[in-house]
Amino acid sequence: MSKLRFKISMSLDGFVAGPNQSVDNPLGIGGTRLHEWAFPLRAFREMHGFEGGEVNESTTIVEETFANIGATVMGRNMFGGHPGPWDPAKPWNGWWGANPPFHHPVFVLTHHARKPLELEGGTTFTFVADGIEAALEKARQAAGGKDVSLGGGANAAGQYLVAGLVDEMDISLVPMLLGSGERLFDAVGDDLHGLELVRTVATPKVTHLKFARRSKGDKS
Amino acid sequence: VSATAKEQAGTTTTGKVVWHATMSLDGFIAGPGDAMDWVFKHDSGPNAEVDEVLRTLGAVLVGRRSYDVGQRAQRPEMRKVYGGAWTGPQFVLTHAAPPTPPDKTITFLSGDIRTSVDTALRAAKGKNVVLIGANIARQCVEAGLVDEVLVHVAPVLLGDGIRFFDHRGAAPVDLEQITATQSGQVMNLRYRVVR
Repeated sequence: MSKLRFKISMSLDGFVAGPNQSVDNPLGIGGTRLHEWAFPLRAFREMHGFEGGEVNESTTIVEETFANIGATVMGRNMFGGHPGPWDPAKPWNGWWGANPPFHHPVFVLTHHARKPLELEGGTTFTFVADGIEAALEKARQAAGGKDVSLGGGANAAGQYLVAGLVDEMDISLVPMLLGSGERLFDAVGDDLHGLELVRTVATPKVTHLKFARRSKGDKS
Repeated sequence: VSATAKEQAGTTTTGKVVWHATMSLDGFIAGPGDAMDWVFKHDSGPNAEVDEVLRTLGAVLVGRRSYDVGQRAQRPEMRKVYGGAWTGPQFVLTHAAPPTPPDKTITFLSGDIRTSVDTALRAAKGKNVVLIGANIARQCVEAGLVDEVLVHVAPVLLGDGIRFFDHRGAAPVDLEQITATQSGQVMNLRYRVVR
């Protein structure tokens, strides 16, 4: 069965974006620094169409999170633009330009129906207005037996987590304190929803925590 | 750290100021109603990082709320700092000191944060000062007084409670990882504060 896998970078104090998020500064104040550990990596640069780069302890983690993914689901806030109905006068086509780095079908959760958006490089955004389970089902079908990546943001991730639909969660814990901003685990309650810590990989720039669903025979 | 304490200590070395906390994965150091039971539930037994803290500890500086939560603990040993595994000078920062401290190792302080840290560092006689409590730690971070952060991350979500670092409007604080180890399901993360 194809898995739903979630990966995100989080500050030590629990934030996935800094305060004052805007169209000009989508990750908020200090938020870009949550991802700086990945930028020099060859594995990350290749994904975004650049050459060269480092190979270090984070390489296997990045390669693993990108491997065997056939489709992505993401929330409206991650796709970005503006809240509310889509504005045909100012079409918002995502943050990622003409050739987004997904190269597979992406399903965007929204309350507002919209025609699919086909971009270069194999990325098509399909807008799903009938809930998280419908979006996941569509993504699973599109993934053709591969896994589905849960792209975020925090709100969409929280909904899938609470519904018990997340099979794997990779948190890259970044050594910085943001003090305020968008919290990853806001309003998901006090339960890891069946996930347990299965691996810690410590590197000087970031600590990778892998959580996975307890296997069915393993009750504790 | 504190220039004043360092100058006055002359050639003797001054200890470090270490912010030590156990945190849930979602960033809380206490649950709703100051609940701390989850910490003991996730205690994974002997921990070399904690042993090291105790070995190098000269004094603790505790916030009033953390102190009060400790005093209310059901098990008597839990009313003591580190469950009684360490004894030494404890300084409690408060605006309203009780008339008599319950214990001669406890001193109530009401001055500003720099003076309080200086007082604790002097009492520590070259060993480290550990900060206990979110509010006091935030004040020390803001004043640039924290040298290291040691945080044990428990694989639990609390959903609500006292946040590890709640500081609206603050500039991001950069940390440099010193060590990261795992004890059972608990991660021990030690950082240097970049200033």
